Amino acid sequence: MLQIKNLHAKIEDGAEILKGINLEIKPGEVHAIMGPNGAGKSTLSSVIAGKESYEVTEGNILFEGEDIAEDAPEERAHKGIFLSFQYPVEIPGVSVTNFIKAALNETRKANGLEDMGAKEMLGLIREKSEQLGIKKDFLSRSLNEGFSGGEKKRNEIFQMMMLNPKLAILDETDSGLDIDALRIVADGVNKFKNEGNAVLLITHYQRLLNYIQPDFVHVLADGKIIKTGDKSLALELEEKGYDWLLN
Amino acid sequence: MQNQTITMALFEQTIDLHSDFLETLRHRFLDEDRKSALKAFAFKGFPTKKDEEYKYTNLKEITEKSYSFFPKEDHHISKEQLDSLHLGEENFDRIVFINGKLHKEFSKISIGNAEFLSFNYALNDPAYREVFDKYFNTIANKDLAFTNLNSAYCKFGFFLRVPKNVVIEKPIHVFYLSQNQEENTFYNTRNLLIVEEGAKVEIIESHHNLDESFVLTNSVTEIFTHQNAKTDWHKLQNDNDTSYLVDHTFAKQERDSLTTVNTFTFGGKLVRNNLDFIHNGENINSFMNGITIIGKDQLVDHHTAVHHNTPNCESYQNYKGIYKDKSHGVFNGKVFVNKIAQKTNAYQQNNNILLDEGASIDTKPQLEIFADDVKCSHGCTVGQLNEDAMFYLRARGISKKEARALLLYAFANDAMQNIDIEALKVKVSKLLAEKLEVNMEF
Repeated sequence: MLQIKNLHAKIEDGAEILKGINLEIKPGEVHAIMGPNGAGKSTLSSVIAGKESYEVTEGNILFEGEDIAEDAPEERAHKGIFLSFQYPVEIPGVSVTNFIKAALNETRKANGLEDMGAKEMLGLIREKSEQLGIKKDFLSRSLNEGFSGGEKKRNEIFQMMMLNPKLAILDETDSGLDIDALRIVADGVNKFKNEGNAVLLITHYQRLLNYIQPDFVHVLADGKIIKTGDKSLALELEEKGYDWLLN
Repeated sequence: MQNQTITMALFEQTIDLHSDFLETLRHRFLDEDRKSALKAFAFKGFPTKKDEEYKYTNLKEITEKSYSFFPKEDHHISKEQLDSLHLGEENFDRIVFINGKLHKEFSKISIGNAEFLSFNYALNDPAYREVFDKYFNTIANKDLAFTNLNSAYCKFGFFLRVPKNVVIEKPIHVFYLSQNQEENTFYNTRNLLIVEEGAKVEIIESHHNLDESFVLTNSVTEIFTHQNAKTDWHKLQNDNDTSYLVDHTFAKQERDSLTTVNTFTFGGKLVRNNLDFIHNGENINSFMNGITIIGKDQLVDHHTAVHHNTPNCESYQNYKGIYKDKSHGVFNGKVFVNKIAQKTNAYQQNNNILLDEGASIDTKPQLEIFADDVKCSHGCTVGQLNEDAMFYLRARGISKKEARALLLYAFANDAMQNIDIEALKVKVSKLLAEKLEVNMEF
């Protein structure tokens, strides 16, 4: 589904952050990328999603066999890539419901589908919000405005479930969550997960991986993947830290 | 005579045509006042860029033109055309002026116990002499070129008195339409609103030039909100590219009263708004909100002044500006706090976003505080759209244009908080989408 080959990227007019990433994610897989602060974890997720303030200088990103490096962020979204943000942006005056309607219908339009009918939309919103324990009044609040850390992340997962992407990249979705919220969010991801889609977890801590079982764990340091293993690698990292790998 | 007026610029016309204008009036008790107002105007003439208050706003394109001072009354506006202009709210009362004249057949006035008249009608009726003596031209600033010019020539506009404890629930939408004028046309519009003790009223005002010739509207409004009364006045400025509007609105408030003036500016070639609040009692609340979205080579200039003359009063100003293309915005917000006006709470905010390199804004807060126990804050910002926020929306599949519109809507939104008329909120949102060239509901 996603193939990243020798990916180099830098900040516009700045330093190189990704220095040759190789990564392949197949349908049905869950990958976790761990690593110390400043390793380039968030940069990698932003580059996959198409953030324009980064420049790809070398290598390819293939999504379902197609090079997407030149695609705008919305085009990547329309193809089925979803990024859950570490810091979701507050948008006063635009309700959660109206926002998700706009996002969903734009994606449908790009894929040659009609707008979703109001009744169907409402049903879907109800189903997904119930799964995440989201209350009705939450949906009419302004997007992310005044949301607690946990509410923001839950809202990100809600949007993921509504948009039903092929590849979901969850950037530090576990940060700022208490244990109950973490469980609900992980539960949502597990419900979303199926044989046809894939999940890429970007995380600093092993904690989330107790709830979402990864098939592969990669260690990212200084812009490169320096080690890949199974879920036991995460436990090892938890115990020993990163230093033993860096030296 | 005819040839002469066409070649003359506005200043000469104002001097030359005044006696002709006076001949059109049925009431003559104001003649001397009108003459002296014209004299005061003529003494200084139109302000130029040398004038501090017009430093950033060049009026030359207005004053170089010549205008007809006597609009033709004939029009061919249909009911359907009118329906397309109103806010889609059947419930509103509406007052329709066409080419300066009040048209009752297009208007819908359900207010029973308030006095609504065309300004000229009220002037002609001796029964209103007393009320004119008491209110008319008492708060309009007599040092200003445009207010003097208006006092010399005012005839169009409305008079509304809401008696004690009368609450008018339905908003009243006042339309000023200009149509079927071959020449450029000059309107001096004058409104007088008196909201007596404990009364409440809500006005929406809009001007529409339906021709391709130019319209210059010089509007002066005096609002008196008495004790414990509430006045809301919404200015919906979305006129065409051959419209000029110079507006002076003066609002005087007595104790325990509340007055809001919202100014939503989307259209017009050049718009200058002057808004003065005068406090005359304790526990007064004043709200001023503005949303400006313009493009091309439009210019919109907001000048506000709040005169805190009395203690324990509050004023809130919140102006948002979005500028595209080569448009130019000006904001000048003055707050005067008299030395007896202790415990004043004055808030002023002006935030702007420039969308294109050619767009510009001159913003200047001006606070003069002579009391020592006050809370005054002001701030102004000029920025671009937040890149992270744009990325967030686009990563959810929302196109660049729509994402930009959503963020700009979010930016402007808090200046809409004071609108309690849903249809007006919807209209403002629609105009915002239209101006940003997106087809979306927010």
